[in-house]
Amino acid sequence: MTKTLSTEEIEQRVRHTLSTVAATLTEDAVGSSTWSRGPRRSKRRWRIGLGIGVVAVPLVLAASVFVQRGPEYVDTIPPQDVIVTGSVDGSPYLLITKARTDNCGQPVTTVELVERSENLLGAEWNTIASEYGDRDECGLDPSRYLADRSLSNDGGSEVGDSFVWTWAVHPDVTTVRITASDYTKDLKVHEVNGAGYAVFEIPKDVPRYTSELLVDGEVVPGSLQSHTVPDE
Amino acid sequence: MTNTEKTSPSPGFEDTYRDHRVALLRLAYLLSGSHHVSEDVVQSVFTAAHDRWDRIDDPLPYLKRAVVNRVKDGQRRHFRRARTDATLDLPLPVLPPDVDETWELIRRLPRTQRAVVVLHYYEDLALTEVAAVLDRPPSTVRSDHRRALERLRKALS
Repeated sequence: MTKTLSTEEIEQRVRHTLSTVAATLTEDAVGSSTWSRGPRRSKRRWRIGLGIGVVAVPLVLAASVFVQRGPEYVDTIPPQDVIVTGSVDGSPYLLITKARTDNCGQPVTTVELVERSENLLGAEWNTIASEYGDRDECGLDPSRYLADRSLSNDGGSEVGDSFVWTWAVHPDVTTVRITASDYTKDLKVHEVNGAGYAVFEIPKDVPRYTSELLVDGEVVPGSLQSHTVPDE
Repeated sequence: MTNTEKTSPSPGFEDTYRDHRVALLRLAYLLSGSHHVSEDVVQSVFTAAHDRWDRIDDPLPYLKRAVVNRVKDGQRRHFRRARTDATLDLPLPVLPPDVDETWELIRRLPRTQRAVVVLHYYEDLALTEVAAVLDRPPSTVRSDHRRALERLRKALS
C-alpha cells in the first residue's frame, strides 16, 4: 500500500536531502581555499567539433558552434552589425557580426547568435558563433566548404522556451528549407563576408525536422540533414 | 592598468573567497549535480568578480546570483557539449547512507524547477526572492514550485 506524502513531509525530505548532500562538499574535499586566478577555461573546452554537418546526422544537432565569452563586456551593438533580430517566448535574440581576434592575433569578423537575456549590459559576452569552414590553428579555413556547396555547419542555443538554430552555408545558397511532418519553412540566407547565414526559430511542437540547402530553388544534392530537437 | 595591478587581489576579495567558496560550490553543485560544473562555475564567477571587485557593493548576493546564472549557462553549454563529449562530467560522489532517492529525484527535475527547489529549500529564499534571482515572474516561480513538489510527491509516494 502506498502512502501519499503531505507537502510538509516532502518539504522536510527535500530540506534534509539538500543540506546533507551539500555537506559532502567540505573544505577538505574541495581543496585549496587560497585564491588563484588560474588558467581560464581553454577555448577548446567550449568548442563543438566542426564538420559533423557534412552528412546527414540524425540525433546530432550542434554541428558547429562555440561559445564566445569575454574578456570584453557587453556593450551596445551598432545597428549595422545586426543581421537578424527575433524573439522566442518573449526572449529577444539577435544574429550579429562581431569583430574578434583569431588565435594568431589577426582581426576577424564572426557571426554570432546573441540571446539578450544572456548578454546584459556590463556582463561578459556569452554568444554562439556560427562558423563557415574548417578550423585550423589560426581560425577558419573555408576552402573545402567553398568547393562543395552541400557543406554547411549548424548549431544553436536555447532561447526562451525553445531553440534558435543557425546555419552557415556556401555563399551560393539562397535558402535553407526546413521540413517537418506537417511543416515547411524556407529560411532566408543572409550573406556576410563570403558565407551565408540562416536562422530558424524551432517551433515548440516540432520534435524532428530535416534541412536542405537550395540554390535558386534547386536542392543542393547531398545537403539533406536530419535533426532531432532535444528535450529541454 | 598594468597587468600586475589587474592580477593583484583587491582588499576583501581573498577573505570572501576563503569564507564563501565552499558555500558557493555547494550551491552550484546542488543546482548542477556536477562537481565539474560547480568547480568551473565558482572559479569563473570569482574570476569575473575579481576584475570588478571594487564596483561590487554586496558581494555575497552578487556571487550567489552569478553562480545561479553561470550554472544555467553551464547547463546550456553542457547540453551542446554533451553530443560530442559524453564523458566530460566526473562520476557522482559517494553520498552518505541517509541520502535516499529524494536526491536523485531532485536531480531529475527540470532545471528551472530544480533551481526553484534549491533556492527555496536550501538557500531559504522566499519564492518572490527566487523569482528575482531567476528573473522569472513570481507567478511562474510559484507554478514551478508547485509542479516540482507534485512531481516529487508522485515519485515518492
